[in-house]
This record gives sequence, structure tokens and C-alpha cells, in this order.
Amino acid sequence: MTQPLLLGTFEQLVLAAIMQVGDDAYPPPVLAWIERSTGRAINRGSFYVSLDRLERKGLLQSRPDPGGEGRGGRPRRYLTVTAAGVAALRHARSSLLASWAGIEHLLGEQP
Amino acid sequence: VSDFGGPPRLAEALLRRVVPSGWAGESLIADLEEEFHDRAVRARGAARAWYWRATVQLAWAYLWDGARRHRLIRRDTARPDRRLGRLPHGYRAGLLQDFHFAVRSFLRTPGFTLLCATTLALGIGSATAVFSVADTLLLRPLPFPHADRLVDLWSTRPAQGEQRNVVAGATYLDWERDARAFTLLAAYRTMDFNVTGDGFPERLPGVSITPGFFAALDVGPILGRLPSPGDGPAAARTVVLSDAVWQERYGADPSIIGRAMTIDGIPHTIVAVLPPGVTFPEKVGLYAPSPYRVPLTPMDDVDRSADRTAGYLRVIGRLAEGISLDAAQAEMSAVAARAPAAARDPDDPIGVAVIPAQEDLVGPLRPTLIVFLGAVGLLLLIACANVANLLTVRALRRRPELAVRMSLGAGPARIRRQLLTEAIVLALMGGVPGLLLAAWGTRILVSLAPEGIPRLSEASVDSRVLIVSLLVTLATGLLFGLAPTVGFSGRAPSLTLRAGRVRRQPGPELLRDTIVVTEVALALLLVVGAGLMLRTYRAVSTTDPGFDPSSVLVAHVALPASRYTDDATQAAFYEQTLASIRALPGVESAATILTLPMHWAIRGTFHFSVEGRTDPESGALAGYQVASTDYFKTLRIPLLQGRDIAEADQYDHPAVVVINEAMAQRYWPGENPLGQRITFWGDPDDPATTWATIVGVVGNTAKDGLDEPPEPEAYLPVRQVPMPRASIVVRTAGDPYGIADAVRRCLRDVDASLPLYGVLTMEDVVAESLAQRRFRMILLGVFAGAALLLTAVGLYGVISFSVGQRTREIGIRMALGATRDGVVRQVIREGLVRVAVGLAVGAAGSLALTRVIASQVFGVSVTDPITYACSALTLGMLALTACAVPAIRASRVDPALAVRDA
Repeated sequence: MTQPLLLGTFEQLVLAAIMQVGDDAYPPPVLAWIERSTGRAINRGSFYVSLDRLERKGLLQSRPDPGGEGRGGRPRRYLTVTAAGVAALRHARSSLLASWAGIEHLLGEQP
Repeated sequence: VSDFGGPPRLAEALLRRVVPSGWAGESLIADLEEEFHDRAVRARGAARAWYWRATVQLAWAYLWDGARRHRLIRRDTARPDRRLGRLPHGYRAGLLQDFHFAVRSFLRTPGFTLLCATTLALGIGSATAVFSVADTLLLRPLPFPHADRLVDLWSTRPAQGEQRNVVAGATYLDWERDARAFTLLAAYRTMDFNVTGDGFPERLPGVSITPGFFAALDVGPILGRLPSPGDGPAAARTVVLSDAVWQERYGADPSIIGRAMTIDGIPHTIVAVLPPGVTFPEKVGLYAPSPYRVPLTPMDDVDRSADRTAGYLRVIGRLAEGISLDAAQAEMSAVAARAPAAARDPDDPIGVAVIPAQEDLVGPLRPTLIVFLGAVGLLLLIACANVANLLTVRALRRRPELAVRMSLGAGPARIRRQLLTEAIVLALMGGVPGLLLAAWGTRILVSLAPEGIPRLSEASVDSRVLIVSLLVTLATGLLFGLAPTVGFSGRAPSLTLRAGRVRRQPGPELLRDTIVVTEVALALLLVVGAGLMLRTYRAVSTTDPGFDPSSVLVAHVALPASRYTDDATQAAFYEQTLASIRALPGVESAATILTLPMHWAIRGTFHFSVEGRTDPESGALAGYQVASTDYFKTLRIPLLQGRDIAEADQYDHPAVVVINEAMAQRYWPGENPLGQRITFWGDPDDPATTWATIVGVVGNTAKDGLDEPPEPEAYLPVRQVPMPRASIVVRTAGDPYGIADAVRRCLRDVDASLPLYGVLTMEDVVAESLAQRRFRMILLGVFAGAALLLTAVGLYGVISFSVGQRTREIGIRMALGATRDGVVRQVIREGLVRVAVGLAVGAAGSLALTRVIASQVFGVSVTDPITYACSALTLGMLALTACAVPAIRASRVDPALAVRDA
């Protein structure tokens, strides 16, 4: 795999949020992070299907971890972004930054 | 965690079907549950809604995702089976293929699909709505902990045929002392309280209770402390508010506890507020513990704890742990048998009936609900018959297709799975709009229903009920969807293939005919039922109530015993109030009456004695009415004989009474009642007894409902026997509501602390008494309309299929000289033969079944030939139309084409 995979906006959000949450990344805190940073309610269906898809593409890994409060002894799915995932994010970021370079003033943002 | 603590179980079950199996799916469900609990802490309802939303989102996403990947795989030609085998959703993908195929095939035949979906939606929707209401009223427990242990206790007098009597004070105290089968007994009496003191004077529905009342119900307060069984008379002069009164009168003031509230002129202290939705009996706002050992009566505040004769109490009890209803009944019968000898009459013993509280509350509604459930059950049956019919037709058409699939290697099991999936898809297509219809229908039912049906406002679509309806339709779909595959697997597909087109086969045709006949019969049943209700409503609403309700305002007052202590003050109050109302501009006349015709069912029926008559008439009964002058004039009740109540009929003048025609006819048949003397007050042999002379006879008025026969009534002058409560009636020149405020002001001028309540027009009062019937009529009418529609759809389906099958035959006939009219006539005749058989069966069924609704029919016979004829005619006309469309289409067959195609 020479060229990193292209990521959709939602996929970027999901991967970035997993990295932001860090060690404690399992779905509810990740969802909470995305909802806080975007200010929107996230469709649970899109989210979980995206997780499966990202995992199939090898961009994230998940492992079961036993239990926690209010889960009836059922496992948590801990999420980590793989090296390929980090590469894909990096690629997405740099291409976005490149495409924005020089139009910040048009967007009303500080460069 | 209780049942109610977790996420909606139905949603969770649904979720399990769609998420991937294994730990990833498990963790997903746990994630949702975790989030649900976080949200439920803030708002439970919102959390449930959120959970459902998430479930739908996930179901959609996974189904869609699976389908998308499945298509990708199909494009992969290398090794489809192995790829499929490695998929986590392998089997699901197969189902998805079936699902997509089913959807595509339904979309190819939009007419058929629309018919099926509409039919199912109508059936499922109406059945679910009515079942939901019935479920709330009949099956759902009262909102109290262990409500199944809550019972009502009644006095009985088997010798008099009295099953449920209110209980006398001393009798209740006997029970309370001796009964061991209950953890608690409590007595109460509903009455209206005049609330004054702070804010505006208001009359609120209340109950006088024993202190153990709330402990028996097992409810707690949201504010303050409730009276407890040990409080005894110490709890007197306190009052507990319902949540509604707390909200509406006090703006949910959290510092309400300890405040004063004046009830019937006596200061009380507010000690507690009940949780929202908790009310027992229905619609009670204030709960006041009695100062005596037994609750007060509505009319006076005398201690009745030693009284064994005057029953007025309602008694509730909580069955002790491990005691059955029968055991409690047996114990109470023994307790009753131990009553003091003086209170026992061996020929007329007083017993006890222990009855579940739930049954008592909704029991009287049972006949109405059973009629509705029956009607809706019929509708669901018709809907199922229709779908069955449409599916059989469709399955026959598909035989060639199925044969192709089998010859290409599909096994019978695979084909069955396909048909099964189609049935499920169809049920869903009908079920989803059906659910919407159910939610909407329930709301309409609740809003159409007349006032005063206990617990109706709690009704909402119940998921259990919905599932049952869905299962019924699903089962129909399965049964008839799979029918064509029975005996199909054994037959060589090549035969069917070679035949190329569907041949007429006697078996399925008979089945279809039976279905159509059944449908017509069931529809006739519903239409006849609705027709009878319509005619009943017309008969009742055109019955002369005996008075003229137009342009009459009515209102009610009650005089608190604390200030209106004697007859003179009460009489003076009525005098002054009527004088000032009569002086208002636009008022033609005004009067007071104890109980309005057709209003509340307060049955003031009393024994009276006739002077000079002994034995046979000594037990005579008559309605006890107290009227002011001008009462008959105001309501335009005709005076038939003698004179009206006059100004001169004062307290110190000879007692007089005006009777109604029914009383004259029953007790003085063929005699002149004028000048006869009767008494309601005491022993006729006692020389001190006051005798009232009959001075007039007036027309009958409807007492409770227009459909009830008039009962004897006696009107006594209010100046001679004042009562602490009365209804005011005012005849106006213009709109009665226009003077409502002026009447209120008149009352305030006389006594500023008295509330005027229940201000209505007499026309409203009459309409209210018809509301129940109107409700029943509209509902059955809607069902009948839906049944007609569905039957028409069913007929249309059968006839057009049969015509479609016989295109060649029709073509040949026309080629041989048959005219178009002849073809049309023949097709219609075939349809109408089935309809006629259906009508005959339906008429027989109706005759047998209308006995069920006999008690609700008035003014028309349940075998009324006009109703039957009109119903059959309507159904026949509709059937004719349903047959005509395919018949005309058949006549347009081009003979040349039809013969060549063959």
C-alpha cells in the first residue's frame, strides 16, 4: 500500500476523535467527543457501520475489554487507530490544508 | 432494576436481529444501554425515544450496508460461495437477497401492492387502536402498587336482588374490627367541596375519607405527609391535594404544606400533595379525613358511626399477602353473619361482596367494548380474508415463475423461504402505515369519547397489542402465501412450465369463492350493526325529553352547612338570588330545582305513603324533587291538571306537592289525584306527620337518558322543604351564555363566597346524555365503512382475476357472436351470485349476533327489516360496482387477439 487511502469527512472525524479520546476510546466517549466538537447529534447507524468499515480497511483496530458500569457484564470495544490509519489522517490533513492555503481570508478565518 | 428501568425491550430485541453476532454486536448493545442510562437520569421519556431512534438508525444502516456489500460480492465472479462463506453476515445476506427480490416484485405490481398494504393497514390500524383502548380500560392494572390486591367491598341484600350497595357507618366499623383477610380497610365518600378563603371561591370534587385511605391504596405523597391509619380523628381538618389542584389553584407552589384552605366554611390545613396521575376514585381534587370514625355524607356532617340503616360509604381494602379473593369473600360473609342481632333480619340478610377494584371501575363499559372488539375483530378478519385472496391469486399467477426457478435448481425449501420473506415484507408494508393509523386512531377515539369514561385518557398504542395484530396478519400472509407451494414440490416443474399459463383449477377457485362469501357476510354483519346504532341514535335524539331545552342556562350552587344552618336561611338565599336573576335584562324566567332532568345520576328516589291507603302502596317510590315557582314555566313542562307551585306555598302554609303524569298513572290509575295527600316524612300513623296535598299534575321529563321510561316524580316547593343544593335554570331571550356572567354577579351579590359551578346550556345537558350513543354510532359507522371498502376490494380482486384467466374463452364467445352487453351481464351475474350467497349467510349471522347488542338498541327492533334491507342494498350496490369494472374490461377484449394468443 503505497498511497494512503482517501478518507471521507465522517471517517476523518471518527479517526480523529478516537485519537483525541486516547486510551479510553470506546464508542460512547468517542461519539460524545464528535457530538461536542461538531455540535450535532451523530447517527448511531452511520457511526457503527463506519467503525466496521474502517476496521475492514485496516485503519483502526478494536479489541474486547471486559465490562464496566451499567453494561450487564458485556464487553467494551476499545478502539485504536493503526499506523495505516494515522497515515491516512495525515494525508487527509495535508491535502485539505493544501487546498485551503491562500483562501483563509475568503473563509473569514485567520491564516 | 425494575422492568421500567431498562431500555425499551422491543427495541433491544429488534437490535439483536440486525447487529453483527459475536462480541462486537454485544458491545454495541451495551454501549447503547450505557448511553440510555445516562440519558434516562435526565429524562426517561426522551431516553426511550432516543433509544428507538438509534435502533432504527442502526437497523437501517446495517441492512443497507449488508445489501451494498452483498451486491459487491455478486459482481465478484471468482468464487462467490467462498466469499459468501467468509462474510460475517453470510446467511443474512441470503435473506437480504430474498428481501430485495420481494420488494422489487411488489414494486413491479404497484396496484396489487397498494391494495394489500391499504387493506392490511386498515385492518391492523383499527384493530390496534380499539384493542389499545380496550386494553387500557379492561386489562391494564390501576396505577397503584399490587393493584390486583385492591378490592371494593359492598353491602348486599340477596333477598332484594341488590348486589352492590353502599355501606352504612356501623357496618363498616364492624368490618374494620373483624376482618383479618385485609392488611387495611378504608372507607370514602365522594362529595363536592366549596373551597373559599384564599383566591377565588371554587367548587372542587373531593372525598371524605378514613385516615387509612392512602395506606390502602399504597401511594406516597410528592410533598408533605399523608394521613396514616393510626392518626384517627387527629387527621380531621387536614386536606390532601391532587397534583392537578396543586398545579391549577396554587401554581405548584412548593411551600404549600401547612397553608390554610377553607372547605365548606371550615378551615383546613393542607398536609400533602399526591403525585401526578394518582387519583382514586376518578377525577378527585381534594381528600379530607373525616372528623368522625366514618366519612361524612355529601349532605350533612353528622356522625354516622352508629348508623346501620343509611348506606352511603364506599369501602376499599387491600388483600393480605397470600389471601385469595375467595378466602376474603368467605371471611367477610362470616363477619356479616356475626352482625348484632338487632341489625339482622333473617328474611332479608345483609351480606358482603368482595370485588376487584379494577372490575368495578370498568365493568359497566364492558358491553360497549365487547361490541367494539367484536366489530374490529370482524374488520381484521375481512382484511385477512382480502389479503389471503389477493395472495392466492398472485401465487397462482406465479406458478410458471416458480417452476422456472425450480428447474434451475432451487429446492422447495428455498422457494418457501422466498415466499415467507414476501409475506413478511407484505406484513411490514401494511404494518408500518397501520401503526401510524393506530396511533392516530387511538387519539381520535380518546377525543371522540364522551366525558367520564374512567382511565380513557391513559390510553395509548401498546406495543404488545400492535405485535398481536401484526402476527395475525403475518400468519394470514404465511398461510395463504405458502398455500400454493403445498403439493407443488412433488409435481414435475416441467408440466407447469409446458402448460405455460395458469389453467382454471377447481380447488383454489372454491377457496376464493369461500373467501368472498365470508367477506360479504362479515361486512353485512357490520353494516347491520352500524345501521341499528344509527337508527337507535335517531330514535333517541328525536325522543321528546318532555321539556324545551332551547335558550336555557343552567348552573349549580351548594350551600355550606356551616353557614346555612336552617331552612329559613336556605330559603332566603334562593329567594334573593332568584329575585335578582329575574330582574336581569334578557331573562324571561328563572327557577331552582333539586336535580335537573337528564343530569347527574343522583337518584333521589324515596318511599312515600298515601293517606288512607295501607298495605299495597306503602312501599311506593317516587323521585324526590324540590322546585321553586316558575320551574315548569322555565323549562316549558306542560301543566296537565291543577295548578303550579305558587308564591303562596310558604313554610307556614299547608304543604303541597305537584306530581308528574307517570306518578299519577301509576298510583292513581283512572282516579283524580288532585286533593290526595302523600308524605315522604315519617310514619303515616303518627298524627304529627306532615301531609302534602297534590295540587297539580305536570308532564313527564326524561330523568337520566332519553331512552329510559319516565319514572314517577314529586315536586315539592322549595320554600316548604329547602335543600342545601340546587340547580338554577334561566330562560333567556337570546344566547343563554350571554347572561352567564350576569348570573354569576347576582350570586356574588347575595353571597360572595359561594361558587357557581357547572354552567352549561340545557341543550348541552341533553347533548351530553347522547354523547355515549353518538360515540358508539360513529365508531361502528367507521368500521362498517371500512368493511364495505375492503369487501369491494376483495370482490374486485376475485372478479378481475377470474376475468383475466378467461380472456381466451371470452374472446371465443365474442368471435362466435356474443355481444359486449352479454359478456358484461355474464361477468356481473357470476359476481352477484357469490354476493347473494354472502348476503344470505350474513343475514343469518346478523340475526343470530345482534342479540349481543340488543341492550344498546332503542326504538328499533334488532331484526328491523328496513335496516337489513338497506344494509343489503348498500352492500349489493357496492358489489355491483366492484364487479362492473372488470366486466366492462372483459367486454373490451379483442376477439381476434384473444383467440390468436391462445
